[in-house]
Amino acid sequence: MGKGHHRHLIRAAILLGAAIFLFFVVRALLIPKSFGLYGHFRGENLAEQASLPIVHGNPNSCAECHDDVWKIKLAGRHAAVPCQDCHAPLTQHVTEDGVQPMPIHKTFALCARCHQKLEAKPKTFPQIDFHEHVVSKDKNLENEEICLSCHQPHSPMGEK
Amino acid sequence: MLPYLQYTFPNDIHIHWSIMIVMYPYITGLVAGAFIVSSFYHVFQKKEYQPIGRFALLTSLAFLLCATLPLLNHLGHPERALNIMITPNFSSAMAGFGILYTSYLVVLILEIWLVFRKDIVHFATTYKGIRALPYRILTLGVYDVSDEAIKTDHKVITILATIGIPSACLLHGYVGFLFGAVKANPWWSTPLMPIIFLFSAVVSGIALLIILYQLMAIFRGTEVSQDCVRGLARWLWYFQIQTVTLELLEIITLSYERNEAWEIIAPLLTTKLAFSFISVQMVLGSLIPFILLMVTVLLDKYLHPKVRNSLTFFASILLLIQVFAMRWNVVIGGQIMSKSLRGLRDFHPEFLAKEGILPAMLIFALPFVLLYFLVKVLPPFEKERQLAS
Repeated sequence: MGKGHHRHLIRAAILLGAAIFLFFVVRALLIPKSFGLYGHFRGENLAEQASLPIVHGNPNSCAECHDDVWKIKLAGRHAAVPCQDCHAPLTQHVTEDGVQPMPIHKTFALCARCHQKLEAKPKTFPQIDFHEHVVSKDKNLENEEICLSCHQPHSPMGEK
Repeated sequence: MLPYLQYTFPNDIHIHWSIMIVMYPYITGLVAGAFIVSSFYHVFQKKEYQPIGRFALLTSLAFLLCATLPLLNHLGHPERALNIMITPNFSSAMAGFGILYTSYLVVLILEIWLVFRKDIVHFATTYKGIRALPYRILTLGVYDVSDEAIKTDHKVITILATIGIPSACLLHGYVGFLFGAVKANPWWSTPLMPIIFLFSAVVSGIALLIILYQLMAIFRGTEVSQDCVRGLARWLWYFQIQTVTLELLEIITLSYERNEAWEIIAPLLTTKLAFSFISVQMVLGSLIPFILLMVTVLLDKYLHPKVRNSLTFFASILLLIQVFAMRWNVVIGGQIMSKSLRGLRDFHPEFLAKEGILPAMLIFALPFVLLYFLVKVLPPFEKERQLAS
């Protein structure tokens, strides 16, 4: 290289070095203190998550008061479906102010989440084309709770 | 409208990696391809590519600067984008992106700076006032453009361009690797994937430059260098043959092995991807340009320049469509197969949605706008440089 003719290269190298140095300074400032404490995440996040109010109850806790329904469910096809999938979370029902009315999703939209026909599902899983199955019974889909007029949600097909 | 939510597995109704994830490898492919073309001149000293050597570098930069936009739009929360640089998680292949992207960007900017340094110094000294300011900053205060200094620059350019080739290949090979390494998806999981991505990237890069070079020549009222077009057409044909062969080899292997994955891949190719794979990628995008380029290369001495230009131009347009279709068929096709491999899903892209067709078109238009300004700031062609002088 020609002597004295590479000043611009030296300046570019200094600029690049300064940019890399700046990156490491900014990086050091941006990384949260607790990062990497337990793994590749912010350690404090565990405490933050743990301090969030509990919303759902233990899946078995419903049985303490609703033993009759619980037994029907256990004997039926929905035995593995947790209560709080269709009913609201337990904390909305059992509150510090006593027992409140339990909000329940009864619409066909909820049933569709598992039973809408999907090619990818095993053939043994009960699936229906909702439009074909429901519209043939209620053309305007006015009754959103139409599924319940034939099926019993706690044991939809009777006993297993 | 019934809800597209499913509680129980397989619940993959929604295709999460949308057109944006098709655009991302498409744009990075153009970056890598354009750079490889620039290296024909800057590394391999092939004089016939001199007319586009500098322009190819600017094209690569314009597309590189926009390469992350589809990802940022897809993921949302662009303010978190730098986390991949600040706390890279090396157990994920995606952690490599920050390093590969930045190192390639640095190499490319340094190379462009050195290639254009003589012009930068020239503009910094001839322009007046605010117009000269960006050029003065770019000189870094050194106005030495003596023969010795330029000679030194050339040596460094060759080194940078030589580093740039593996960098560009890694940047794009890595994108293919991301798909090839998804072992749960038989349509993606193949060690051939990075290589197919890379070869098709070079095809798209050469095709884009043939189109842009010819369009620029028309708008600038200059001659299209026939040596350049002839050479590019040869390389385009060569890389196209390689790409399509690899793409077909992968499918032939899958078909011949007849393992359980073929039971879903065969219907995927013949039903949901019949149009985009067979019609667009293989016939319109591969067979027709193969014939056009075969005529261009084998019957070269009988061709009138206008015929040669037209043949390469149309072949390039078709190949750009082919490469896009290939990205589409990989990204979307791999998700049309349900994760349980039991059936196929539908994909209907929306036009105006956040990740719809319109945002994809706008993101793809942006590098061309950037390129327009880059060409204005740093004229890559001889005629403009002489006029500016």
